[in-house]
Amino acid sequence: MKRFLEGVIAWKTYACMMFTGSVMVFWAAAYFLGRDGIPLGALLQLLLLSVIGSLLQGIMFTEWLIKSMAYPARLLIFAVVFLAVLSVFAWKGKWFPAGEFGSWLVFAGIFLGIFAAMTAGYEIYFRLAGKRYDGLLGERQKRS
Amino acid sequence: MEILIHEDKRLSDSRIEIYCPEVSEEILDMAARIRVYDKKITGMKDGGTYIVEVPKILYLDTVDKKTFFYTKEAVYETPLKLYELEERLGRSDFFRASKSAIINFNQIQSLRPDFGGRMLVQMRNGEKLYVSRQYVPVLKKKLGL
Repeated sequence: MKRFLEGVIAWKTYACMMFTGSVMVFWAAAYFLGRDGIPLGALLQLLLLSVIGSLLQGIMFTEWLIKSMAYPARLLIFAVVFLAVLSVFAWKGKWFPAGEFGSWLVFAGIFLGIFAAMTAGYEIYFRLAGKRYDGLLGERQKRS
Repeated sequence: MEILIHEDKRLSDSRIEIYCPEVSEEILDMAARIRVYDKKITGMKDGGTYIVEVPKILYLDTVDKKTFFYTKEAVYETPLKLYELEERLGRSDFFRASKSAIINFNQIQSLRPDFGGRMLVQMRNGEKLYVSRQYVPVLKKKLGL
């Protein structure tokens, strides 16, 4: 029960972070496009997407449900499922003309671009943190 | 069972001898417990009993309710439970890495954060182990973070 509640709290935290980030990006885009603000419907969509996205993140990038799976496979499944979820939102929320094939290509391209940039960012962070830890490890082992 | 303690100022180190009618599981278990205090662990391998120095141990884990410890050269089984070893080895440089494993900090080759808040640890024999998210703070504290 305690573990479940800890999981729910972590999920809520990640959902809040994702929601804050997406609202900031949406607000910046709206500002540069000369819009007055973010419509309530769009905010609700972002909130729901943040809840689903962070849940997917929890499933794919922790050992909560999937104990052992290669990292590239986790990345691929997350990307495919989240892109499908986003596509449903884009279609139902009329983010762009659904009949235009080009719009879908641009949409998928933007998603993959952001996804690749975030993945590369995490990889760089992991490597830099690893180097820092190795440095500290060497120092500590010399002392003991 | 009779327990005798003799104080002898002439001795430079403590000495424990066990006299028994036969070497039973109970006696081996008792000897294993005493050896941990002496920075040594009794391990069983291929039907033989070996005494291994604690600093040489890379890590310990539990598989099917049996406890094993690993050195660069071999794998040994010990009659002690993981929590008992954690209590005693915790004073050395060992730390709990997951519910089923304890790692020797001084035998770690390199570290790398992993997804889900875990830490990937490469041991000096090249073996890779994971430190669970809940035990990562213990490792970070050992690193001085």
